[in-house]
Amino acid sequence: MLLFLLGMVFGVGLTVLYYEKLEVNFPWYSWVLFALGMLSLMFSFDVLFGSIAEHEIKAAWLGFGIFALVGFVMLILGWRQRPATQTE
Amino acid sequence: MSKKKKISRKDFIKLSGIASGTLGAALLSPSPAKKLNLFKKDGYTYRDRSDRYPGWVRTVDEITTEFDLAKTEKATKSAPMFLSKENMAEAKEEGKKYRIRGIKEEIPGETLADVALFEATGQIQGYMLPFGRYGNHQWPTENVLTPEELGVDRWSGSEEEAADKLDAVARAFGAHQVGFSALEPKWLKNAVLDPNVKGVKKSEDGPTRIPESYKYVATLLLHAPPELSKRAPSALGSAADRSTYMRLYMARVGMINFITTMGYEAMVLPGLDVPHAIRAGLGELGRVNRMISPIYGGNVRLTSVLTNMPVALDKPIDFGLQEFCKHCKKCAEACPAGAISTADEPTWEPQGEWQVPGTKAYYEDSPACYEYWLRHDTLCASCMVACPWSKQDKTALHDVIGFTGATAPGISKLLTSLDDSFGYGVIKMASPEMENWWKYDLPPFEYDA
Repeated sequence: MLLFLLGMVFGVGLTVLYYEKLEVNFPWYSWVLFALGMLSLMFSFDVLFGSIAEHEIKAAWLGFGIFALVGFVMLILGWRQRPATQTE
Repeated sequence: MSKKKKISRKDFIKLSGIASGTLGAALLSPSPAKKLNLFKKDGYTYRDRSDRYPGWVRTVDEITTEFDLAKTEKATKSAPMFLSKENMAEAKEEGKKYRIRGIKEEIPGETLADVALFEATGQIQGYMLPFGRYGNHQWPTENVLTPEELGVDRWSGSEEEAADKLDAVARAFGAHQVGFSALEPKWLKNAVLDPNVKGVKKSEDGPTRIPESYKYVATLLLHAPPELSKRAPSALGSAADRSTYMRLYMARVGMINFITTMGYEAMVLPGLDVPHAIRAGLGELGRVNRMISPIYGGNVRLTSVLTNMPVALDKPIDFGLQEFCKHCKKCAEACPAGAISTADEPTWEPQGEWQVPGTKAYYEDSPACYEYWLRHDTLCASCMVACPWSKQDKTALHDVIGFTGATAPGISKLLTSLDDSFGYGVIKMASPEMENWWKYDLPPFEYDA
């Protein structure tokens, strides 16, 4: 159920971004970074809740921290690739 | 700036409807019937069961462990025989003191409740042990109906259908997997194949003689309760071993009974489970000198049924374990008795007469292991739980690591370091965490239905 909800949020978010709000043109590698970043973020939640279910608390928080951090770094890196001259 | 592409609300609803319908149809449509690749070899029918594993587990023609049947001899002595009587008596006495001290001092994992569970499971397991005639259990097998008694012909079907039926029976009795292999006579213990006997002939002073038609081995696998197992080698953790065997023996009796009513004969395999299990594609031989499953790791228990009911056999598997075990050594580090080999390469030389030669393996110091059991009144199994492949299936992280370990087994040392960093393995002895098991809301036998 958790992964389903994450997938829904991810899908709706992308749709909204693409059709309604996106005002900037990102280079293709930004999209790759966004995709990998989101994947890593979703994976971090899978590790967190899955490991808690396995009663592996250290693995849960360590895995969550690592994959969430990697995900955020990728998203930030992707965002920073937008053209500097573009404005609203 | 490019013009934004707009979709109307009507289009959005239409697209959503199509997507939902497609998803629903995909989810609700029946799964396609499995089509197994069947082929004949050496008079047997084989089937490729790669469908029961992730893609990184390959089926192969020969088992991945080197073995030489010309060098294989039957083990004549068991490990306990290599402890002197005085040493054994002294070790047992120490074990008794250890047990009482644990209860009185309420050491986590060794309290009265922990010991009570260990004892309760042990009594049932002991009742299920194969002490009866032919190695079968007496009470649940002797009154089973046969086709003759029913006045009907015995079941006849293809070997593939027979394998499917036995697979279903094993699961009905709680086994997680079953694999089929051809009997290797050299892997029998105190038994031989005899072309001159029609039924099984047990002898008091010689090997059991078995008809040559008994050439099919069904090996059942049960995953030990993972959470309880992590408490090895405490009394609480040892209850996992006993509760698993208790259920495994029940499944074994159930399968023997089923085969009997189908019109064939079956008995407990009077031989080695591990090589038959490996031949049946349930796993590979690991550093612990036991089978490691790609799904359940080392935390499994095995038992086998020998039958004359023709069944399709399974192919062995390869998930890179031979290379993985060379570098990992986590089981050896976890062994409290120091009984697991730390050698860099497997060897043809057994450590003692209790072992069956003819396999290139990491032979363990079984008497040291057994002595530890006695001194701590335990069944340990720390090595089986510490194995990095022994994981539950609640996070995709294990699939990622499994894929990495199978495709790049040379980096197993790095993966093992990560495994340690994440806190996987056995729980530290006497740690308060031991007693958390009693508070967990775990499903029956620790498995989600």
